Amino acid sequence: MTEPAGAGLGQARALTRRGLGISVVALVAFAGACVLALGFTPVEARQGLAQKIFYLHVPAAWSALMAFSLVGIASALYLWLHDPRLDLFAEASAEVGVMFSAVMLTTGPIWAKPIWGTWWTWDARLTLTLFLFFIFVGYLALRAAVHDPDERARFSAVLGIMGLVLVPFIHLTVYLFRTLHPQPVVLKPSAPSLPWEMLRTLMVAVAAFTLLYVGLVTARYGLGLARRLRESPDAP
Amino acid sequence: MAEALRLALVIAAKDVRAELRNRTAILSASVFAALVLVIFYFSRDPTAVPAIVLAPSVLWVTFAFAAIVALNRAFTVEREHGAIDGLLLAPVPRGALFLGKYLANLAFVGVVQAVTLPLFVVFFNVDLGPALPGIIGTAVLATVGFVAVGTVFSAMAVRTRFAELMLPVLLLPFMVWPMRWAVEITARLLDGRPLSEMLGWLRLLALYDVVFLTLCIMVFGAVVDE
Amino acid sequence: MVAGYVVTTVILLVYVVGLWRRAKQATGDR
Repeated sequence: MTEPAGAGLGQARALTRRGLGISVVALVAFAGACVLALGFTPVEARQGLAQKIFYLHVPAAWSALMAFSLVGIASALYLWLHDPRLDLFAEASAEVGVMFSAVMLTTGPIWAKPIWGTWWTWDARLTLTLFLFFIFVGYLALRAAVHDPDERARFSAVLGIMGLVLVPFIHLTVYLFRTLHPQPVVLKPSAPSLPWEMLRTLMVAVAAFTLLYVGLVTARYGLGLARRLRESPDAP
Repeated sequence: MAEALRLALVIAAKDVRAELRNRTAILSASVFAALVLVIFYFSRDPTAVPAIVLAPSVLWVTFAFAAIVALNRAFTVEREHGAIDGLLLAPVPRGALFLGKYLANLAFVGVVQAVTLPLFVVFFNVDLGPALPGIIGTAVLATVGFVAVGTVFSAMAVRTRFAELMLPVLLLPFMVWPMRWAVEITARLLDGRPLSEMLGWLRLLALYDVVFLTLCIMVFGAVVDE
Repeated sequence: MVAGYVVTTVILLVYVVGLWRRAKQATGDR
């Protein structure tokens, strides 16, 4: 399937523009969520002000996890269908996922320190999120190190699938540890049931972050498409 | 199926013979393992922690590093001789090609571990005693899994510019888990704990082996095909 | 707690602005 390079680049540019536009809207929503969280949501009784990071940390984690899963799925589909658009999507989702992981891994300890008294523990969620980050970074490093686009797509897809398959093992390990060693009593950061104002703020934040994911991946996809077209003008 | 297995053994034998002729991979990995043991020995505070407490972790970290060196060298040597292109032209099923490389890598890593273990016993003055068969069994179980993943990743890494760096970056997140389980089992073995306490970890190792060996056989073709 | 909000905003902005600059550079216009 060939198309003149000009038309392809135009499409790439349009995607990037649209993606950035969506991202700007999402950033405004994010700002709104921050205002909501800081000014118009009740303070949580047990954890006090520190709990407010929850409204950023949880959506970031959700976005990172979604990004990772989609990379894994796109990788599997690529190895089956060989559609280069799947590879471009995976590339975009991985980069955006790393960014959200960075937010998650910084807000997590900032939240944990006053509540748990420690910056880090090796419980289920933390361990999983850390390894997600490592695999993401490895994925991007691999992509940067391979120059042939087809080879890059194949290698990344293999890594993507392996990463996805690893996740259940991480879960099982942490579960095994938990059943063997009694956990110290810690305050769980997520309350069993949220009062509606907190739930509302959380939902707004999740919506903002999800929109941001969509916008950023679209823009990044356009960027990747443009690069791919310049690398090999007759490839789709 | 039998034909594929036979092909795999032929490929593995070729690699092993090539390595025996030019022993750099095994030698460098073994020396590296010995050095790692020495570093661990000297970096610990002898008054604070008895060697036996650290033993499982030291042993497994050493195995891990040595395995990475062995995996790296195995593919780099072949790349330098351009041997794999010849193999790819022949109608070798990719699964058999993977198995061949895998078995050869397993042999390399196994030899390095066989050299490391006695050195470990000597340097750290650890009495393995009745735990020895269990430790060897655990080593086999864990190695079977991560060498599979390592074979795929070293095939990818060798085609990148910073191959020696790329392999650990890719492999370690996958290697940490079998290593972790192996450490738990080894610690309990050295403590003389009953088998029931190790079953969970053993099952995880076995599951990892089955799942990743299968996955690697399936995806290896995507790595070596043009 | 506020540090969390600051860090998050910084990371988000740095990435979005970075993406925008890469887009300008890559395709010649925004």
